[in-house]
Amino acid sequence: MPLDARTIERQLVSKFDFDLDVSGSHRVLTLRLPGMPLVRTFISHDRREYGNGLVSKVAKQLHVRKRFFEQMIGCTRSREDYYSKIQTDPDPPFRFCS
Amino acid sequence: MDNCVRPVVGSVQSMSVAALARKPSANEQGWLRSDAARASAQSQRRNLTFSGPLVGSWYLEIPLDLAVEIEDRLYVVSDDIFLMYGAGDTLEKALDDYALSLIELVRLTEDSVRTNPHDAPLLAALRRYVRQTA
Repeated sequence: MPLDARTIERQLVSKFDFDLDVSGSHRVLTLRLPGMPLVRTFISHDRREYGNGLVSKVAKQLHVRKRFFEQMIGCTRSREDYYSKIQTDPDPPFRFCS
Repeated sequence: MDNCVRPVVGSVQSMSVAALARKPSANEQGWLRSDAARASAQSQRRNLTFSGPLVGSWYLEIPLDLAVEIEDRLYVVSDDIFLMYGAGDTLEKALDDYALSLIELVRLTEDSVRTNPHDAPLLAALRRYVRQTA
């Protein structure tokens, strides 16, 4: 399901407490959770619609499956659902950990 | 954290240079053009090896295997190590976008590691792959 890039961004910021930095070559969204590496995703400055392929890439950067991510951007996955998911069962797992 | 997968650094084949990535072979070009021409809902996937100069003084020291997908005339390249992607109307633009993203990830991780030691392993890996020349 294609998603609007600004909707993705707005939801990640308002619902999931990501920080947004638009100063670089991409719009960078970051989430800092205790005891974890930085969670981050990169969104294009000028691409408004994200098709299935790009949505999958963003989901992967956020360590969830595409379906889960779509539910995050929709209304069926809460902030608690997401935090719990990436703290206990990230998919894909964090490759680089201390 | 117990959800770590240890990196397999050094397993990437160093069989290609940036020129190969940025200028695909005739076969690859044929595949890319033909797929782009009939691209619509169907997504295609191939791989290439990306290495060499990135942007400015940045250099990709260890080659990265990138998946190349075409969806609705949009080229999307991505890796499974750093989970980065780039997109563009052409393969070259997608690779440029990928290169910028990778450099931005280095900068972001350099910043983050100052306050978050959990990012140190990622930064160490990035510095093995990506170097800034003088």
